[in-house]
Amino acid sequence: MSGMINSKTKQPGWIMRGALQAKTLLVVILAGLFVYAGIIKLIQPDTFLSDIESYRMMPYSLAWLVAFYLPPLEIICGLGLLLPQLRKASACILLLLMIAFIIAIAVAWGRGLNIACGCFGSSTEATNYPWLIVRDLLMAGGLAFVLHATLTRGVRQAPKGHKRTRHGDGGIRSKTTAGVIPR
Amino acid sequence: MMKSILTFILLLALPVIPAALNAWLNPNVPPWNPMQLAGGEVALADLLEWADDYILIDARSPESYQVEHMPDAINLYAGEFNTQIMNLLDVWSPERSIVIYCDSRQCGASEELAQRLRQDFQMENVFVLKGGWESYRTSNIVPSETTRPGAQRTGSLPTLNIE
Repeated sequence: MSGMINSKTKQPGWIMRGALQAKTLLVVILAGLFVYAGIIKLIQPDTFLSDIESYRMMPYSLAWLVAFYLPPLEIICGLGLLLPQLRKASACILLLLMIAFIIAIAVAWGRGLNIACGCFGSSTEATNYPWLIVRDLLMAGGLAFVLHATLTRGVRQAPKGHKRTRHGDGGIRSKTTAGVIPR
Repeated sequence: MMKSILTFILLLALPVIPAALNAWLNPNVPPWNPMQLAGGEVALADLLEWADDYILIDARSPESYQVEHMPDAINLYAGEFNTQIMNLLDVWSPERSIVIYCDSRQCGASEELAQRLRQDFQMENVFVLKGGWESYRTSNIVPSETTRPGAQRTGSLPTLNIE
């Protein structure tokens, strides 16, 4: 199938290239979102603390620690998404975070609390729970896709005569005497 | 596998350093003790002693405001901001302070409204009532009917049995 791998040049076809570009774009967007969200919260820990407290899920001292720990975690993992060596672990951590956020928002909704999401800094808008959950689900879906793509990278049938080798970043690449097939 | 676990742990441990630096150097560090007043906060007991003229703002929902609110408070809910802000602007003047409250210590709406008024409307002397409505309700102060929202007051909330 020429769309997947060009049989003459052994280069990725247009479908593969398109998928790779879409994945790269998704990774950059997600990284940007998490770094942006982290920086805003890092600058104003007092506001973020009151946002965490509005969920009423943990004691004040724990909320205080979370208010300082979470923003740099988001920034570091956001940047980690851009590095192939750290992408898998970063996507895994951020995905777990997103699941925790979704649960927290759903619980707050169920309890009838008027929360300030705190997701992207302070917001003076009234809480729109469905939108918050849909937004977080979209981000979680994007992270799950990146994580899946990272885990399955290179675990495809290598062309005949090619040897699959595992690399330091966790990926498996098809190798010929001419070199590594670019992905 | 081992390498992945180590990377995972490293990514979880690394934020501790910038978090500690931020807690040390950031000027907006919230107090460790929840009862301690942060910058821009005022306790109810202090408010009663205030000599300055101030406007009380209730940042809770209009429904909660209708049920009960602090005397002479103006309702300014985030969801109705554009319509209700006029009620504040009608009575506000630069020399008057603003004190905002929401449900409780955990609500956050008063802090965000205070920030918005400071940034978007250049209002100075905007304060958040520590503990919010809950602190007022659990105090010995008797809520009274509001007749003139935003009326001039200088720390003289209707009180009863204040020790």
